[in-house]
Amino acid sequence: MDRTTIKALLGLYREGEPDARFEEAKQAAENDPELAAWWAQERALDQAIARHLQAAPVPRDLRARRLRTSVNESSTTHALGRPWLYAAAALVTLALLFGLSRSAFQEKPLFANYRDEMVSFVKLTPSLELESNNLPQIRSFLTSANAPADAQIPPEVAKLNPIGCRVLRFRGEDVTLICFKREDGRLAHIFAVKRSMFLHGAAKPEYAAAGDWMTASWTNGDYNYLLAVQGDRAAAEQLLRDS
Amino acid sequence: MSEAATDEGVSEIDQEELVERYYQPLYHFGLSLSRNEADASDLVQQTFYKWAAKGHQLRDVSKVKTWLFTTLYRAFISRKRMDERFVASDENPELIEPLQVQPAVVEALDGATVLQALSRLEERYRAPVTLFYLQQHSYREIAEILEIPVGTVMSRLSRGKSELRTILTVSAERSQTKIVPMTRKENRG
Repeated sequence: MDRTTIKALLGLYREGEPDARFEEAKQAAENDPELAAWWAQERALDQAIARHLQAAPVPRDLRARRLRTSVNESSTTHALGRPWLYAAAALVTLALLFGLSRSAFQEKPLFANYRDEMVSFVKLTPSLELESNNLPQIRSFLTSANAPADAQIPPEVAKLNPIGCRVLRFRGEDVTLICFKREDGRLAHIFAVKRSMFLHGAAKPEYAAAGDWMTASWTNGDYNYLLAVQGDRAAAEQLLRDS
Repeated sequence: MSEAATDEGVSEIDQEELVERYYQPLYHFGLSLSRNEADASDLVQQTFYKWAAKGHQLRDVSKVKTWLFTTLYRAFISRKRMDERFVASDENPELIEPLQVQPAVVEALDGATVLQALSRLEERYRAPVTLFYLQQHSYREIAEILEIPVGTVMSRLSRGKSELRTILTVSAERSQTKIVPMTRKENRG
């Protein structure tokens, strides 16, 4: 087996796969420090890609929409004498009702992961569930969605024009996202999530860069807040100066 | 997952757990295939609807996961009217050495970059590469989902991963030199 083939196989290596060539390639790497270093780097990249893909936010209403469709379509296209269909719908309803409670027993997630996921989400120009320039209307929508609606918007951010909102999910919790238009035409994103989600939490804003984005996070009342803006720290500080 | 095979198939699978376990990876698979949140959600809805309607016909409980992903993939294929999976003549079965990616590229990765890079893969590579990174399936299961031989899965993975690395490297270079601001809209914060 030549070196190119070994690297090709290592690039596809997975524990437990039956192809005997994988083990041969693995042994070659174990006996070749240079190859082992190359493989370690390769796996680090694969792990990072997998982590980011699996953390991509899922629309909050996905399960509810699926349930509606399932029940409606079942009743119109299938015989009524199939009780298992209703049982399935009932069980999915249970999933909707009790799915959230599971997170309470899980280990608290890292705030850094939350921050990274939220920033990566707004980088993708997310569609908004409600487009509105009216903050009370946005709060009303969030209330009806049972999402954090009474978020304390920093005064300088509140002076900006809101453009809409969306509810995201993070580790089983609803996250409110409200977007505002800045004077330079770019956006400022405010996220609010239950404070109890994280061990992390300080009243004063803590700043952290995420690529060419700047974030600030703080806690106030029941919520943990995250501000994300494209730009440097000054851009974020400007929006929080009277907070 | 608590489940039981019966003469009538797998109707006793814990539906709640099934939903909890698979709706997110199914969505991520659908998102990567369709490159669109709404379409991905629809694909997941369609998949679970088919499960509610036909899942009881499944005899082998160990196939539930593969069944769900296969159903979603077929729904996507059907929507795209894509028939390239049946064309094997242009397949090069050889595996290729992955392009080396610098550690700085790995460190700079984020969710947006990964999803954008996956969305720019050729379609024939996007499905196996996404399934590979979802880490839910063996190569044999990926082959079943995509209805192609295991050897084809591996060659597509080999080339797809290499293509993905090229995309990530080029994106990182552009980002560092500020020549091209990715595909971000100007009015996004």
